[in-house]
Amino acid sequence: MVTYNQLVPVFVITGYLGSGKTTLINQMLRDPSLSDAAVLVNEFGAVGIDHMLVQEMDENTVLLQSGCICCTIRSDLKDSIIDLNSRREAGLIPRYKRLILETTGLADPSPILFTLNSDMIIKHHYRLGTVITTVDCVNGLAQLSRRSESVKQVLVADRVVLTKPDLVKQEKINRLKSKINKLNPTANVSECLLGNINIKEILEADIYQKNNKGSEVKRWLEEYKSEDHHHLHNKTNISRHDKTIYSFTIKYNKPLDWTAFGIWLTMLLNHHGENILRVKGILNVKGVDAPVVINGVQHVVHPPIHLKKWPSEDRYSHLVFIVDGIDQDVIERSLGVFNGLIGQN
Amino acid sequence: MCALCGILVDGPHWTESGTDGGRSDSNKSNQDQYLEKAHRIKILNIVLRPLGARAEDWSGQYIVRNLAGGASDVAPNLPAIWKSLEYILNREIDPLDPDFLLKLEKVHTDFEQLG
Repeated sequence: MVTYNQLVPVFVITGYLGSGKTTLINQMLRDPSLSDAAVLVNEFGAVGIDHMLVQEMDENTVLLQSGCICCTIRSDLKDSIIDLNSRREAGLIPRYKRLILETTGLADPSPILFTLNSDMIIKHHYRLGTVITTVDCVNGLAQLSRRSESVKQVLVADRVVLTKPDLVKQEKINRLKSKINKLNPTANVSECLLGNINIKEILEADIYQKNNKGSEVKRWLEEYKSEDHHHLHNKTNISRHDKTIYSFTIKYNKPLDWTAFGIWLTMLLNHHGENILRVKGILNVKGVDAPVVINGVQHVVHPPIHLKKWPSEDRYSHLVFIVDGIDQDVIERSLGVFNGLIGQN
Repeated sequence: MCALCGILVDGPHWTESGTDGGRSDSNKSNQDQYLEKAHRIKILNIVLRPLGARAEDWSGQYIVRNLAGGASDVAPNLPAIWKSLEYILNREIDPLDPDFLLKLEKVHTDFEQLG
């Protein structure tokens, strides 16, 4: 039986129109460290791969000099992934070990993540890896203020890559970083110049990769500690539609019952999944020595994983929420009531 | 697919794959899975009591019943249970609803008083 960490990770690259997705993909296609990857792009023409072409396998798929397989997404993403997988299993294309997926600039990534996590065929071969969002330093602030797609792309990101930093002043970059931090305090934000992108580093935020999960979770926790929580409890209007998206952290001192927590979180996401944009955390679970990490995007929750050790002396459970219009107090009270059910065996 | 109910057999849901679903050796024994499921149904039934519903194990799946009307449905995992309950109870189920939480606390208190 294939276990979760043996599934092929899917790295999703999203970002608004003109934010540098194709530039990033273009560099990935050339990188020898991605020789074991397949990349699903929107169109061959945009990434300009003609001179790297080694073999054309069919009208949608080519093999590049780097060893990377490059495919165009057909009308349906799900069919494209399943078709690619069938050809991989049949030995018609090399057995790639990771899949990189480019979304369109206007895409809300949530349905894509849901498809990857819920389609019966896809989920038996693939798992969601890291979501990488490109944000253009020139237009990013305006897009985040006016375009809900742009906001959603940042909210689901594990890693935000700021592109074109050389075209604006540092002050504007700082304001953009601050805005992104308010929206998604757990995302790793880095700047990159064209041609100077460390592909390996960008793909390293996947917490299911060996030797990485501890450092990734430590970074989530440090991210909000370093901000003194000042933004974590401030409601921030982020769109012209006057919706209220903000993040907060619940720090819980009582060990959690895993079963009650699962009942509570699935019930919460069933009713409020549209408005619980992210939930990430490290849990102190009753009867489990290791800290347990959870990570979810709207209705999609990754399987939990153990860390070898706690990242610090702090043994509290920490749950980071990014929500739209839900009060922290209400969520905290609900979790407390559910976790309080356990003493009655 | 289950030959009896026609439900497609899926992999374990994240709530059922233990607390370390990312590990290669995380598969639990049948006995552990049974005990965990029994514990889950026990807690689930405390949560369902204020809603007037009940859950039971049904050949590896869950069967949920509306205690007032008698309607029932089969669900493979927790997210499906909430959908089934909303269907058979004909109402939304909100764990943040203050009235629901008050009732849940009362159920808890009643259980504790019964010892």
